[in-house]
Amino acid sequence: MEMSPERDLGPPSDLLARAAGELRQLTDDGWVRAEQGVLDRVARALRSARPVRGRHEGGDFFLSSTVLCAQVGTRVDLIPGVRASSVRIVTDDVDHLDAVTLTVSVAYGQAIADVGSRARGEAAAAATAALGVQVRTDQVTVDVLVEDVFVDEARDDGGADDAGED
Amino acid sequence: MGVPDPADAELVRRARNGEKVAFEEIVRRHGPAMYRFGLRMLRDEHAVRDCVQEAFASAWEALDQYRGDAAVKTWLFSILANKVRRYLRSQARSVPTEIDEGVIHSPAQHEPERRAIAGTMMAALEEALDELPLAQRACWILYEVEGLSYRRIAQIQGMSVDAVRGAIYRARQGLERRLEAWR
Repeated sequence: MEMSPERDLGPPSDLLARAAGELRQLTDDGWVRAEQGVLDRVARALRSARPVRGRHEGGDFFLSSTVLCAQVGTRVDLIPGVRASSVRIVTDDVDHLDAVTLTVSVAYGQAIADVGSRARGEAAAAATAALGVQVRTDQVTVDVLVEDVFVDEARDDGGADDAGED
Repeated sequence: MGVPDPADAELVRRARNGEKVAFEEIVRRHGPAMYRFGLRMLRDEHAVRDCVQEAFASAWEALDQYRGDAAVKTWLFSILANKVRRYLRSQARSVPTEIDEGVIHSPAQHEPERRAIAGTMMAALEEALDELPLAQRACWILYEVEGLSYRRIAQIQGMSVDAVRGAIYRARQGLERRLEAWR
């Protein structure tokens, strides 16, 4: 009986299972030859980051924008039905935080305006905690871009993903 | 397969905060499988090294954008799959006739390995894989060799789950037909 592609595929034939098994074993030596080159390339890779000026009792300090982005993203991820996709930081000429652009996806059925408002507040709160200076949304631009809607997998795990190609 | 790997998550968290040692551990965890996938797709050790190197470098540079929606392995394979597609398209562009991506053939594999498997079922399998359309080849390798789920493959390949399932089905048919003599 011919298998139908519309339902789950069964196990492969013995022949193809053996072939796949051999493929898994074949290239380890190649990776051994390549590994150091990959590590060297990674060591040279630079992630763009800029200093962001913060303040504590002893005076000013500088926080990497990479760290600040991570803290903002982590905080926003705590909002139910919101996933932070990216966080962008803009600073002024003397490294003060000038703007935060937060890109998020929201769960299907969420009120986007409410979610966006809450995300702005949480982003500002996270920046305040990280920098030690009050980040108010009337002084620092906090833009929230809702770029996508997702199905909450905790409620519905049956959907198929159709991720777009780059 | 769909359960996030907590060790990966912790490594990503540390790497996102700038710890390159943590990212190097990610390279060691996932590099062998990525290299294997790249080699099966390209069959050219130098090209694979370049693609894997660039994939990991891109992953490091974009780590702050990774939010954990997909497993780390899925995310890394997505980046590598894009590098592989771009490489193959760049190779195809150098040929002065219009070429369908589905029939792009890979360059020759690294010679020592080529000689080692000459005359074996593996050599026949590699030739058979090379004759498959690119998407079928990638889906079959990711599913049968790397053990990824349809859903993860769909994320990596930018295809629907149904399309992935169909590609694997057709790849199996094609490989069975071409490897009949080795049954």
